[in-house]
Amino acid sequence: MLTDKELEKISLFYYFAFLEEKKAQQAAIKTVRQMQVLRTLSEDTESRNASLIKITLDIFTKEKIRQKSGIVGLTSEFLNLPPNSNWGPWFEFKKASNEREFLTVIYSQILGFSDQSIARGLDLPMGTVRYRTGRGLKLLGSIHGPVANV
Amino acid sequence: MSDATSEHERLPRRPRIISRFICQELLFDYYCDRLDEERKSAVQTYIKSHPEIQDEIEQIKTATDYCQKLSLTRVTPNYLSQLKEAKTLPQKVRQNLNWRKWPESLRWTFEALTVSVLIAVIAIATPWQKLEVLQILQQKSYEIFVSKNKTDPAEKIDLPKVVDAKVETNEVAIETVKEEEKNKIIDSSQKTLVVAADKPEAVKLVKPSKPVEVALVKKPMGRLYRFMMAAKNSESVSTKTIEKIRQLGGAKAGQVDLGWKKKNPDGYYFHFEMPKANYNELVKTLGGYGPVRIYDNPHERVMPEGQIRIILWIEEKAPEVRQNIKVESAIENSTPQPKGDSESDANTENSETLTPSSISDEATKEAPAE
Repeated sequence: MLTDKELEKISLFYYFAFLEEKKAQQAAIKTVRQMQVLRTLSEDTESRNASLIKITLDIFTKEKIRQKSGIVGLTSEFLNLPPNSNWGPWFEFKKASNEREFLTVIYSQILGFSDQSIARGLDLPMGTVRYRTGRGLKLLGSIHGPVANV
Repeated sequence: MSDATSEHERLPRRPRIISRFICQELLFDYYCDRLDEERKSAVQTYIKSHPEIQDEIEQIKTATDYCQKLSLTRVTPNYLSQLKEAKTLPQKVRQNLNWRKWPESLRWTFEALTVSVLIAVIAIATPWQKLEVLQILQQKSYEIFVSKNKTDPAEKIDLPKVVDAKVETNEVAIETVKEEEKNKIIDSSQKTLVVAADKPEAVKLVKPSKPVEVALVKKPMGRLYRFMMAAKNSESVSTKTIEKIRQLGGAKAGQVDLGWKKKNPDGYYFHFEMPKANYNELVKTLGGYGPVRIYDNPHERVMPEGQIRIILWIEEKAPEVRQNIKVESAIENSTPQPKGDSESDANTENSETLTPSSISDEATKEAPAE
């Protein structure tokens, strides 16, 4: 069974990845169903995280094809946004960045997964994970500007 | 030893000098403080000499802080509960198929529908025809009645496989017997014997003291009466004969009408059937017109009971001169001549005098065709 924290991470991943509420909810539900079917999640945290990362990436890859062009937006019905949050740079970051770097930043910086879990989930060397994260953050920083207005 | 150990100590290395590219690649690790001392100092050295690299570090810092703020986003409990209740398709189907949770009316309807469908399937799938055939076969199967003769012991006789065989006791006629039984000797008793269809070996019969041999059974044959007569004014006689035949209940039995006029030889041809009871009257009537020769032959055409079939030929009578000469010659010879040429006999079985072969042949030609 998935914990509430894991459910939250799954939901947030799709929200940040799709930036479209309906699509994010559908993908989250599919992920939860698939996790229930598997029923073989390890007790080890790193392994569970790696499995989550792998499944979310797979479903994102399938669902992104059907996503309509343009971003619909997010509402506060299902999300509690941080006060005075500015989503503009994030929207720009999604457009300008490489998809692999974009997702790695989400896993690493937004969801807080360790580099080791990300490397196992994406089946990549740890150096590659750090490289992508660094490049993504540099781009996000350049988009955001010198002053972090959040 | 101390001198050897000191020799193997690592010599102080010169400070690493890195390129701009390497420095940029190591910036994130430098920011996260994941570099070893050597690389860390190399990066620091490079940054001091190249202040523009510091801007990149600031960018990384800004992005990291931004992401840290965004990571404070939380999902509402309502949404979490919906996610928890998310079920797979089999789970949904299983939940919906739990008919015990259905409303009572819907449940009763479903049960009634299921029962009716089952009954319909059974009614359609059951091979009713086979069952009916079995019943019919049972009905049609013949039983063997055995009556034991008290004086003679019963003997087991093997009978051939017979269907629809019937043997009557000591009777002349056997109506229908299969080809296989024609030459068999069948024991006859005082009672009727009925043979089972599929049980030839389970028959017990009693042998009477006098077995009756039933040989070949011939196909029943009919009779054909041929009347030949010569009369004066044959046309008039023919007309009267037609009326008489009809009066006696006769009707044509062939393709030609009564009194069909034929040429070469010339004459009038009658092919008709009539009630057997009126045979004598017909003969009597015809006899009044002249002598009649009657021939009775078997024929494959069987008439219904009470009916007879007659072919009548009336030709013009020859002049009397010829006949007188014949009579005179007969007297001179003084040899008794057999009569029958000029007399009619109602029950003549065979021909009495010479038959005009051409006439009888032509009449015969028509008869088989009819």
